[in-house]
Amino acid sequence: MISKLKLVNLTTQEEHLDKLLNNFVTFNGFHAVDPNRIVSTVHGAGAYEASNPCEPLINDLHEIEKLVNLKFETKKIVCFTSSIDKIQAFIEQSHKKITAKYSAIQKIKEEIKTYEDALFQVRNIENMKTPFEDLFKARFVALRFGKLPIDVADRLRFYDQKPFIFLPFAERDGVIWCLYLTTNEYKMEIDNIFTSMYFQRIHIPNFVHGTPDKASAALEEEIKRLKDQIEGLKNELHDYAKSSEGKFDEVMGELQFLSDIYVARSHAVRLGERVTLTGFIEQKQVKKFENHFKGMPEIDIQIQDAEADKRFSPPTKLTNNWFSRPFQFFVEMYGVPSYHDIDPTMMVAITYSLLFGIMFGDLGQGLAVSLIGLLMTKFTKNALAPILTRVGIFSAFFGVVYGETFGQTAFLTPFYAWLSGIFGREIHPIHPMDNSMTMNLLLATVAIGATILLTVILINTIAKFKTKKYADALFSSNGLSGLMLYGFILAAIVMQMLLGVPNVFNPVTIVIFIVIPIILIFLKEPLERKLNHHKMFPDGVGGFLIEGFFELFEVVLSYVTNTLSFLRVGGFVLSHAGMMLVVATLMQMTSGAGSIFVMIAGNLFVMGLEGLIVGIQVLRLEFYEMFSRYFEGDGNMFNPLF
Amino acid sequence: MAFIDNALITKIKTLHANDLGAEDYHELLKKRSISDVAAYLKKHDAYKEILANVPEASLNRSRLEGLIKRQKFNQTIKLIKFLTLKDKSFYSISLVHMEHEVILAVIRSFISSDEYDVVSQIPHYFDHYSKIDFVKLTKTSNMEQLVAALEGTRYQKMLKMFAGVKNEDIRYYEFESLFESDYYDYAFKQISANYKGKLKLSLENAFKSRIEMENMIKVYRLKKFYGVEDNDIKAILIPSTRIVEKKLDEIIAIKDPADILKAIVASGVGPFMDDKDQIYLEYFNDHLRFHIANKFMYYSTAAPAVFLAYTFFGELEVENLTHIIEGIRYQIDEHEIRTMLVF
Repeated sequence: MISKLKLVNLTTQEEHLDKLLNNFVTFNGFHAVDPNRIVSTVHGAGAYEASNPCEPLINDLHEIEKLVNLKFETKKIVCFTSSIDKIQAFIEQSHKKITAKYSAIQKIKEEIKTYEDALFQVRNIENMKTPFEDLFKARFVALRFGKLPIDVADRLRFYDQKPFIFLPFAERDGVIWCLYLTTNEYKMEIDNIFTSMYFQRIHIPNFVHGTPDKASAALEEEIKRLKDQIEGLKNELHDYAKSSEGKFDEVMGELQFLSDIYVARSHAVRLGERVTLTGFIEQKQVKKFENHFKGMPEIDIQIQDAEADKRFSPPTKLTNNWFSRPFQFFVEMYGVPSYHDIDPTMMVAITYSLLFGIMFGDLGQGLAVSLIGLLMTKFTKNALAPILTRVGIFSAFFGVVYGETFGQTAFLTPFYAWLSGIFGREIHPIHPMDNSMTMNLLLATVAIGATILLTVILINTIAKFKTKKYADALFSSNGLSGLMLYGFILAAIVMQMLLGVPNVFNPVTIVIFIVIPIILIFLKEPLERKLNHHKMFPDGVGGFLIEGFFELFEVVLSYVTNTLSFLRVGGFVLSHAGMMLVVATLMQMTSGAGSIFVMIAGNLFVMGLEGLIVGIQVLRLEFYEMFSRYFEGDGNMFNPLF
Repeated sequence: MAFIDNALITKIKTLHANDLGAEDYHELLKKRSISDVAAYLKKHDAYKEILANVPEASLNRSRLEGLIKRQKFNQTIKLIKFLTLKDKSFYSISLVHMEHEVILAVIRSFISSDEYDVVSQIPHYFDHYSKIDFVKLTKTSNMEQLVAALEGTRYQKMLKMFAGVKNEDIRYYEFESLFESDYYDYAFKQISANYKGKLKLSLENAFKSRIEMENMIKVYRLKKFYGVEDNDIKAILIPSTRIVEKKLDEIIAIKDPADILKAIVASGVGPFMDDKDQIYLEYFNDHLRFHIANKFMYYSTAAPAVFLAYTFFGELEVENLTHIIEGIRYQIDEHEIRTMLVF
């Protein structure tokens, strides 16, 4: 449901603004209005600067957190006593100390990278028996180890007449590890060519001597020594940050508090010597809000109805119970209801869970989906996790109805035998794949769909009456006219075809429930104009008739297509049963451990693939078939400052 | 035909959807190092493929620019490969332009110092798609050898009369002008051969607008920086059937180059820009291209026009990124770089 809100004005003299803000930032649940709305409509009103000097300091602190790999707790502050200069000095000093050590670590890391590159190169020529010092001391030949980007290596063919030998060793991460040899006479020219191809030279360090295998050992030892050095520096950093952790927590708290004050101040409006903060709070919070400013006579609190000031449209605060709350995610994905609209979350929660359960009915898989949802809720912040928990329970319930547990029917046989004993007659589960059941199942899902559509049309009609949009409530295809037309046709089909009531379609009922509603739907726009005391046909009757005819055709067609769209629910019941039949057949073809493997893999596959498809299909039914009839989603979210 | 056209338009628009947008440029303008730009592009759909295996830290300015150009080339080739149309030759227009760039780079090497490495100046990956033997071309050192190396291509005939020109007598701007004319000749020939009616007219107009703008910029440059005589200027300009000769003569006759700028603004691009935009001369041409590309991309239903828009957008994107990269390299203020970008 949508919470009732109140519009609040907090006013004080400018000299008391700091006092007001100090107290204001500790109240949670105030949705501030855009101050420019007031500034642009009130002559002489002005807003405060939006810049927040605390932001760069907070970012600095976050950077320190990253450097020392710690998370500072934001210490709760109720009143700011320090000065921003002191805080800045502390952060700068700490930053300096930490970055000095951090830079040392980065430098060593770069050194390690250089040595690792050299090591990789040395390993590429491990079979060579010539010591490195001999190679580099050659009088006539120059040798270069390095990396050449693969995408430019093709350019080498342009230099086939140049005096150099190119030896590629390995390709890794988009580069060719290689060496080239040339004579000292052409060294400069060839180096130039390779530089133009972005050749990155790898220097073999001076301490490397002997044959490549000896060089490898020396390099490995040096890399290990440097890594130990990094560990030492990291520990020193961590110890420093730990020893000052309390101070960091305090500074973080103070900065956060001060930053909140700046944020709040940027929403205040100045008029002469008076300052006002305007916004919305929940009606149930009004008492708490007034108490929050108790004992501060210099602050005036004015509480009004949410719509008292036409400049501000009230935001929407959705309040739902534990079951339906997670489904707000789907509603917000489509749009936020406006303040006067109805909150569709409960309807979505019920229909989504029900349809998902019907389409994905399996006791074992349902419980597994629920369990996965529970675990995801505990360990992640994934918005879909709590939805999985709920829809899984419905799947499990329908699994019992279909008598299926992980695609097996045997597991629930004792349960049905027990049920039969209690009721004194044979009770069987519904097997969707039974020949006698298939058509009934499809018709049943269409019936469920039709009922849901009727319900949403009814909800829309009530909502439109509540918001005094009488033309929509009476003449729209989703209003009373649509309800009469669609409801009558459905009721007549049931009465005449299933219950055998004769003559339901007679001239009187046809005129009352079909002809009149169709005419009203057709004339909805002219009638709406008439209700608003405008001309009924401002652009002429001819054009209206042609346009209106096609629109009416679309409206009638949409009743049929929306209803038949629910056939997919039955289709997926059959598809689920069919897929599990395949798993069962594969299990029969294997034996022992193989059969268990097929069962587990098959169930995982069906849960993953079909669970996803069913989830999307139900969402499609919600958004396209249902929301299009009763939900507009053009509101603003209630977004409190703190 | 219409179905193939629609498929091509869809493909082009899909590729264009991945191009950099205004938000990306605003983000890129805030970057203060080449590796930051590379890191941003690496995450962007338009460049993540080409930059995937390139560590940002190892990138320098010219390599990043080279990779950006290569990515645009890859995308154009993707589109051209997709085509099986009889008007495929029109779509090869950007490849013709690249061939010109290669030959011009080789000619530049004849008049440059010994350190000038022509191989690094040409898109070596392009030779698989061209009749020109790039390896042969890069080994030439004068016009005679160049003409011989161009055997089997239409460029040999085009340059034959220059075969005897010695390196010290090469007037580079003549070649620039020659290839420019060849580019537009090619375009108009392909348009005439393949299209008719409104489409033909709109494609021709797009090219003519570019010619007129480039002519005016050329007049400005030749007067201001090279002091070239009016008659010589006229010989270098590309003839356009749309602008009357008298009008062109009037522009050439303007003595003060600053007045030419005024004439450019008066020529019709003025309304698209404000005063501070005029500090950068190429902006006029870029803005014109942007305007044409926008019109074709969003309102045309003809594949050649949409393709042309895509190539214009591609050129502008490469130029925009080059301005950003160069701007960062030379520590130019963010706002000043912004004045050079068109998006």
